[in-house]
Amino acid sequence: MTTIEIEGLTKVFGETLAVDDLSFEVTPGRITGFLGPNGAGKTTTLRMLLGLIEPTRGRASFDGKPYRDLHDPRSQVGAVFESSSMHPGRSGRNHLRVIQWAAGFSARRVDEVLALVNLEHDSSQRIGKYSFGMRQRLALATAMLGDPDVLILDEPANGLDPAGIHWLRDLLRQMASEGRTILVSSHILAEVAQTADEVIIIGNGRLLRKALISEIAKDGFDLEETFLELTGSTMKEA
Amino acid sequence: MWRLITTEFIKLRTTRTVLGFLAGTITLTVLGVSAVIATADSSNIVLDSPEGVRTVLHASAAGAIFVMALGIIGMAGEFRLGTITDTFLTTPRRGRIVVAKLVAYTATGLAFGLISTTAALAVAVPWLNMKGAPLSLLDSNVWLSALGAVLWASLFGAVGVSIGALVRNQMTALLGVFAWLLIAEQLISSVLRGVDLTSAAKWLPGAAAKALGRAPEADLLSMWAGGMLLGAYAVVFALLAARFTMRRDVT
Repeated sequence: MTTIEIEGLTKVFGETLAVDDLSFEVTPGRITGFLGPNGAGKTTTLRMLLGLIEPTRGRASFDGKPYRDLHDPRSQVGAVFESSSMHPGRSGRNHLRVIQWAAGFSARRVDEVLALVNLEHDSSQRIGKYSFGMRQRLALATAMLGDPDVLILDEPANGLDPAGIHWLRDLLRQMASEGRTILVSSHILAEVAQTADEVIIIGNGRLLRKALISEIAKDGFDLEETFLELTGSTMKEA
Repeated sequence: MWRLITTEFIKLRTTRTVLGFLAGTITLTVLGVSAVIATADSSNIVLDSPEGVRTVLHASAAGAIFVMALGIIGMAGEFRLGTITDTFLTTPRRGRIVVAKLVAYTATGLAFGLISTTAALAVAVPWLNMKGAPLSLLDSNVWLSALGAVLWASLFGAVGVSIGALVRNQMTALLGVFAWLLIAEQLISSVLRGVDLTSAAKWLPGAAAKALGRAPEADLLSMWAGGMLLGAYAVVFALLAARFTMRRDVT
């Protein structure tokens, strides 16, 4: 059980304030949706959480530990990025082997995650020949190599067909019910409304709302109304 | 650390880049050696003189530039393709990645150097025998030239990784080193000669590499001094790479 903690996280790129004093916690055992319009700072926040971008101020951690200090990061945290990229000349299986070997996992895990995402039969093909959806599934398989406690997904539904989205939702449900921490960024509200237990909405790098889906429904709004109202107001400010 | 070094070898083995570069290295070496031997008479090279032997075997260092390019692609290519994200997620302590790549590409350069030297000798030994100027592998002139070419390729592998880490843009890094090694250094040497500073040119990195490879040129350092100087350049580039680049944001 791992809690993600974001405290006063701020990132300035040149003149642009991408993330502005953001604080929130992500609780295990739930699916948390991370919402915001394009350019709201979602990917920058996730990349700071994973030690890929250095915060200007503030900190992001897993049970108090920054990603860089995790003892065995791949088996504690799995991440899939929208722009997650792979070598087009390498086969899907070899892509996984590189990471499996570097992380010190058993070779058996490669077959297990290939089966999990239904890519066994295409695993010897070069990634350059994969469809976008197949690459998304391979990225998910990569994140699952270490059977992590925390799963962070940046726009995972992009490029998946309806059956793939349904499959992903079941997988995330299952993982959350096992007590894992699931953080999913998305701009597809309908998808999040169906999947998430809780949502964090940001705009212009700032926290706008953090609430359980059930609370939003109780207020008589649906997620879309809430989202548009909140993000619309920050757009006017900007 | 061993795991990270072997990971780099798995990366190399699982794409076709390295095979293409190896083919290029062997081709250039064979062509270089052949060109020297075939034109020896018309360009007044005495094949059984020490200078003649050095001129022939020096051609086996032609592959070093491929090793440099391989090192650049091995590092900057990860930024270009975005595979660096997965690499850093697996190993968030980035300095360890740079060290692993430095070791792996130094070793790869060593292997490339051995292969291209073998190819050079495979062409030169029978051909020179036929021409009545036989090469003896026991001749220190021969094995020192071979050793120099191998060390040259190996150090260029390390320099390539460091430049790839410093520049991060693969195309810029490749164009930069080609422009430097093939054009800029010669121009700088000419300028230095023009202002009576001829002896300063031998301290440039390309000239140090040529000295290590026992190139038959005037105004070079000795083989050992050249090797030490190129080694020093490699260390300085590696320290700069570890110090500056690895803190930058990966977006």
